[in-house]
Amino acid sequence: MSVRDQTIARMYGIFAVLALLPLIIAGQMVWLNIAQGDYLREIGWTQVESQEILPAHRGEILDIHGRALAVNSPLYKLALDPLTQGFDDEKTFFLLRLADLTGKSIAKLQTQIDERSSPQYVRLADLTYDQRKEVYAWDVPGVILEERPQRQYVYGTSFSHILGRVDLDGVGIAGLEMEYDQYLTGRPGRRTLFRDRRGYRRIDVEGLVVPPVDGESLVLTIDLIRQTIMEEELVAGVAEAGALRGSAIAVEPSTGAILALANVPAYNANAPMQSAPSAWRNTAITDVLEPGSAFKMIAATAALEAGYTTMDRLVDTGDGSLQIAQYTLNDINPYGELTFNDVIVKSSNVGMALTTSPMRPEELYEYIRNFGFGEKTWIDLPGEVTGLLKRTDRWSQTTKTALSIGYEINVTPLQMVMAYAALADGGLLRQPYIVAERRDVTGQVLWRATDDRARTDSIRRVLDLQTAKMLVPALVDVVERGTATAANMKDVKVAGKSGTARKTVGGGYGSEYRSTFVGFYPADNPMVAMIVILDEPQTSIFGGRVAAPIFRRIAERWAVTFSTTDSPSPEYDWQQTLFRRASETWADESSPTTQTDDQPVVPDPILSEYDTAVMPSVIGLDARTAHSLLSSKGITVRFNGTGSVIDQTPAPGDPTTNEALLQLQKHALEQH
Amino acid sequence: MANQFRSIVLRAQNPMDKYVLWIALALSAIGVMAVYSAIAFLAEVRADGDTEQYLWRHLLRLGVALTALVIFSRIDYHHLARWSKLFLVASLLSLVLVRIFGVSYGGATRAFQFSIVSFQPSDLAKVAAVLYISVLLVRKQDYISSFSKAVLPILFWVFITVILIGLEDLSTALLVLITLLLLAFVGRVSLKYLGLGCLTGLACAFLMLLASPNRAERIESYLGVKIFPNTEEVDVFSLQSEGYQAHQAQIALAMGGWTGRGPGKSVQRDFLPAPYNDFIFAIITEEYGLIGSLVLLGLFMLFLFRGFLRIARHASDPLGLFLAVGCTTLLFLYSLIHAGVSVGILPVTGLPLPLVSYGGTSMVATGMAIGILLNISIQAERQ
Repeated sequence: MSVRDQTIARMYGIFAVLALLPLIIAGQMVWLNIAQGDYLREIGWTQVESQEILPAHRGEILDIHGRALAVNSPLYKLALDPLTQGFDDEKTFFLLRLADLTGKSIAKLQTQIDERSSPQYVRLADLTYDQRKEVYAWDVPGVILEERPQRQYVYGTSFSHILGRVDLDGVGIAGLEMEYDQYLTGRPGRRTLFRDRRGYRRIDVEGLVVPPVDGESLVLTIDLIRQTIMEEELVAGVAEAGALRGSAIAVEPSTGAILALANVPAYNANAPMQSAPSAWRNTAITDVLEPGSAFKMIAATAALEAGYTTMDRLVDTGDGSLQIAQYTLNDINPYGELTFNDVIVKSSNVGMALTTSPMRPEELYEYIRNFGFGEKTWIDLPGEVTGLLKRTDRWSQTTKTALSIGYEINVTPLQMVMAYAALADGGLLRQPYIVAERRDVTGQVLWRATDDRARTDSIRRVLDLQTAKMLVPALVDVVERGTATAANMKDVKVAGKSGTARKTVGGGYGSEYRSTFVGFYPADNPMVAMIVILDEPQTSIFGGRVAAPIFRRIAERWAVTFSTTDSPSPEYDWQQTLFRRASETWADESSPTTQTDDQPVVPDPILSEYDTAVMPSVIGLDARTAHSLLSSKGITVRFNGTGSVIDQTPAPGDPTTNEALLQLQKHALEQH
Repeated sequence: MANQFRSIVLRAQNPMDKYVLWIALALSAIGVMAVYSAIAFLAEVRADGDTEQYLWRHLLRLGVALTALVIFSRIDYHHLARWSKLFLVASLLSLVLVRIFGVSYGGATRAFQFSIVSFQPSDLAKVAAVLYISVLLVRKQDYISSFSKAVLPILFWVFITVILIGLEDLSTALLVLITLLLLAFVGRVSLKYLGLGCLTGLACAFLMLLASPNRAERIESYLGVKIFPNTEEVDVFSLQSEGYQAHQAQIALAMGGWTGRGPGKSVQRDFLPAPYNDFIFAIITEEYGLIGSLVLLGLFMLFLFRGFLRIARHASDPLGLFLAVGCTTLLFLYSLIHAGVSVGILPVTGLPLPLVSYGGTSMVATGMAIGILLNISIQAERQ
């Protein structure tokens, strides 16, 4: 073997060995793919994919004219995963800047991080839009920025029992927020993101994107101005009477639309914990009371229609006292002989008891039941109670008499006002409702109460029109010369009935009273039925003294919001017209001629504030943020295009209008 | 007998080996695509998302490497042989100097930094060593079985090179050691002495591992057993360590499946450290699938085949043969060890894939080695 041959032979040997190496590697790759491929791929996708929830914006709640009552303010949560690779290097810098930005001390932030309950997540601060942008620019590994729209109730304590509130997760837990939660919530979307080993996420261009469906907005039957007036007058009235609590409800008799609803005390839904839980209750529908004399209207209807009396039939009330079983019934004054009309006007207990005494229990029960007592009104608010109406087989000897003057029955204020609304509407009982429309995010109307006959049709006829025509003058008499002259208005005929009932305390009657005035106006063509109830008034126990004046003041201040010539129509055109008239009134407030004589119309501070405000600049913001920002100021937003705002009308700094037009354009980076 | 080889002066001027040239160009092209994708993460961190900046840099370096390839394919390797001792001594000196003046990357001092150009002497040292050991083998062919006259000088230069490289870069040192010992084996050095060399090498390696817990961890993590007294158990088996990297590389492999996720769609590049360099093979597997990486392995096989069975086999003299074997073995082992790390049959080392990985001096050294191969093929004996 020559040297060359030896060399070549050795070279072939090496070649043979080296040539095996790629086969080993190829074998390992194939084996890995076959044996562990699925397992490894699953690990791979788990570590790389991350689902981002795209939150759906909660629908807004607007008053009848589209003024925002409940909106979402853009708020961002800053959270942190302190275990992310690379965070420790920037920790000092990060804490320093964040402390500077949020005003929290570094020590406090450090404590928050140290005492976090989850190893890879700690929530550090709430940020505004600008703050969020700054934190984003720092580009610190491990920082998690989440958009969490915060529910904001624009008018604080106003509307609190109507709107209700949401919990920390944005789920409605009271009021309309709860009742209409499924419509307001919308459906969150999601998208798949890629995540690298620092925890940074980026959009997967080909990834799955399910866009969120924003929640629907609610348009109420309530006008902000009327509601505000009612709240102001109720607060003032409760304070004046030294009462514990108070409630007021106004409803449109021809439709059942709630015009305003207020309770005192109210609470600030933006900070509910600052109020006692008892203030959270919408007592207008959750609390029951014995209505007292205000209930006589129902007994009177029953007696008239069942043929036991006529309006001018005489009743001898004698010395104003009557023995029923072992109890004695008293009138405040001895009235002697009264017509049935005057029994109502003077609110004679004895006269009422004598009139109803020949009635069979079933007859009275049927009328009470028909007026809606003992069952829910099915208003679109949560927490309503049925009250308590005893079936006739459980009636005692005194029950019929007691019922005729409003005792031995528990009713809600709402049931009372609906019963009077039925009388006002000529005998048709209706279902009360608060939401007039549901709209999608573009403003398209999805549902309208007036188109929904199940909602707006009357429930039943509870009395004949003829009976109503007999009864209403008696109730006008009550206001004009009877127990509730304090409700008497100068230009408008009011029909109504006061009530004063002893509160039950632990099964017996105590020394505290509930005072009521419930009625409607104008008596010949009623547009408003309203109830005012005070709980434990101190200055006077009589509903005609303490509740009726509140009724009158509300009605008087509301006058400018109604037309005296137009009649209410289901389309609410009259309200549109009147709102314009009302705002003209406020616009010209300096001119004394537009003020009424004894009850000057005070411009609402909230309204004037946003009337004089100037447009904020929303240029550069994305559509949602701009929308949230403007609608939180009560401005209706219309969009043109998609993407980010590039132009706005009115321009920034111009006076605010009710409506703004935003020109949108997609940024190149937003195309994906 | 050496004279007999040397006497073949009449050199046939053949065309250069087209296969090797095309393999080099194919690897370069694959490298450009893979690096462009894999560099995204680095680009995001260092250059604010400007991946093109790194693409240009890579193309620039590739251009330099291919220029070196062309230049060296035009230089008669006998001229190189004449200066080979100087080359080796110079590169060894710079290896010493780099420990004093060099810049550190990831805990190892391996490179000089001249403005934007960094220069890593170990890359040149390995080519110089192949060249000089080939020359020594040719010179000592007549008395190759003599320990003192032939084996000792050869092993002396082998070990001085390997130890100087190994001071900072143990894996490259082991690879160079294997290459040079295989070369010596082809140069008819007795197996007995080569075995001695192997043992010495292993002993040196173990001593170095004892001196460096960092490296010892990699070995332990690979073996799954704790051997060395100087490592922390927690570090060895933590997910962020070398075991984690190997695991991520295997995930990349699996994510690719048979046909791959497609160019630029790697997701594992975000989880693998230095995906553009140490794990480029894993990225290629993920993006082009098993099929793609098998094609790549096929290119290496073809390279080995051409280098040994064509260029070395038909070299016009022993120097050509040894040089061809040395250069081919060096590059082939680089590729295979890189791939072996990526598929998880070797411990994590951080060796680049020649001509494919993003890296400066190593690319130029690869260009030089392929250039020498091509020059040998040009001067091959007429067939």
